[in-house]
Amino acid sequence: MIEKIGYKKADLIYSCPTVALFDDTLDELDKFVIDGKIDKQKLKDGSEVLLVMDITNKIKFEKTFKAGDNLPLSDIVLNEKEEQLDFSSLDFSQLGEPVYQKKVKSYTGEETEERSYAIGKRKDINVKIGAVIILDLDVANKLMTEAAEGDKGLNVFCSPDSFEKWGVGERNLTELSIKINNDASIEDADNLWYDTIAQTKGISSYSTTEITESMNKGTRKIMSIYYSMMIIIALTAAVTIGISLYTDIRMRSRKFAMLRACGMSTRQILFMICRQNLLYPIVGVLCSFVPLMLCNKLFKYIAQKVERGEWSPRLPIFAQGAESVPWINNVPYEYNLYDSNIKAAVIIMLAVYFVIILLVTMPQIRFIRKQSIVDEIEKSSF
Amino acid sequence: MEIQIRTQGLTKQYKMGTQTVDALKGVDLEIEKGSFTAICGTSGSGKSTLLHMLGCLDRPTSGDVFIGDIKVTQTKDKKLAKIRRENIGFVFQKFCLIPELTVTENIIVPVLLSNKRPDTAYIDELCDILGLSDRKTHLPSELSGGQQQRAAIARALANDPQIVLCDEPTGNLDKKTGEEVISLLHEVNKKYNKTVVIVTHDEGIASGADRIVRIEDGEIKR
Repeated sequence: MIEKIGYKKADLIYSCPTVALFDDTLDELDKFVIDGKIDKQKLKDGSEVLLVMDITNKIKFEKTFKAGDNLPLSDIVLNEKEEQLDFSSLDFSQLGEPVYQKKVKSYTGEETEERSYAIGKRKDINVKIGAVIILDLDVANKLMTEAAEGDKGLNVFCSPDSFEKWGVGERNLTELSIKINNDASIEDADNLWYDTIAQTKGISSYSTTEITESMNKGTRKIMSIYYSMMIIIALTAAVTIGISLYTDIRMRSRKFAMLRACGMSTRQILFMICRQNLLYPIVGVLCSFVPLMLCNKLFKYIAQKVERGEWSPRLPIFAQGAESVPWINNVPYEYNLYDSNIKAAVIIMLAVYFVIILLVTMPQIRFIRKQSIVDEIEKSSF
Repeated sequence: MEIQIRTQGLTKQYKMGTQTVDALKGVDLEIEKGSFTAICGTSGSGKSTLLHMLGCLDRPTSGDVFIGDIKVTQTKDKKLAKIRRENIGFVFQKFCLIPELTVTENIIVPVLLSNKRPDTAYIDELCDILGLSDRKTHLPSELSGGQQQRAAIARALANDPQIVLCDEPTGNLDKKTGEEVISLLHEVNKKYNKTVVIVTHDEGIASGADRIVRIEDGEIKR
């Protein structure tokens, strides 16, 4: 029977999952330890835990936690989002008022309501971090529990005996938690969580918000580079197309003059030029379509391989795998219309081409209108 | 005789830096239908400028040009193009054939511009008369100067215009070939009753014309 006790409505909760492992599984983790060591006995008597993250969270957490740090734990808190713990049969209304209820905005701008309920007997537990472990994605997928949807964040690994030693109940529902004031923002809660955990030895700590903001800044920088590159390439292409078409018209000026002498009107010539110009975008799109698709697929393939750590090109910059090419995580795939919306990509490409052609056609028209038949015909050659 | 081309007080001024040059100074001229007229003069006398005015290739500074009854000096570009297309054929010193097109294709350009179907019998006849029957599929670069000029004459006649204007048609040809071209123009004048106006500084060529118009410093010498 779940007992609701220990938390007040004014409390805020931040939590991460705990995972109990048997000895044979613990043996497999030795090679992933980056700090400290796995002491099975200390895990069993509940005096130490293992702090575990996956490779994708390495940057976030590796400098925050050190082996030997104190880790102040509290007991069970249920969060409605913790579906991996299978609360499908749990009637949250039976738990009464949530201990934490606040509307928060996600980074996508979507507003959601965060609610947490306190259950079980509140107990403050003080343990030390025995070892800090960074797992490969495969092992992490097998062992870790998601702290939030799609994000494993930080897990505490302990022994099945730890819960009994700590005097907490149902181990499958046990999570680390922290209490903060309700008037704090979700960002403050986030900061406090990391500060609290990291405070013991004065080590630096980074909250998810800070890290997200820093990553956003990085993403913005990288996006600005991408956009600048795109604009430079587009402008170069536009100017090149413009110069080519204008030069082409100038080179054909004597032929136009001859045609005008034979009775072609300026309007007919302009119509002919416009018709020819309009063909360029269509031919351009058709010709560029296949190479662009191939390049897109190749780039994505390489990026995914590097990101997963499956492939590491033998260049010094790639020597340490994905970590040494952080931009790889910031490639704006979602803006890659070739991948996500091919129709829109073709329409936008055609539209851009047409605008370029329109801009180029104007000086051509001006040139033809100003052209003197006599002057052109008297030029020495075609 | 019916007047085919008429000019009234035709002047043309060019700006050369800060100076204004009078290329034509009040030219009054009448050219009869079916005549062969030679406009003679030294270099820079204004003879080519006059021909360009007569052929609606350029607009005068003042004065009027009449093609038949049409006052072309105040006509809009579209109508002027139609007059050039239907009433006037040009033969230039530098041939002005389109290098990418064959002889036949060059010849039928004015016909196509009129949105008409080329009269193959007439085009063949022109090629026969001008000695181009075995050169129809050749590109201009594969022809001699004389052949290119004959192709240009054929093109000038393709739309069956009433007027053929020739700007120094022998200027780029040797003497013998030049004489052949002039003789062809005479033949065209007689056979098809075309009004031929030829600009030349060669007195020999001018002497064969029905009428010689001498121009000096932009003025016609009587």
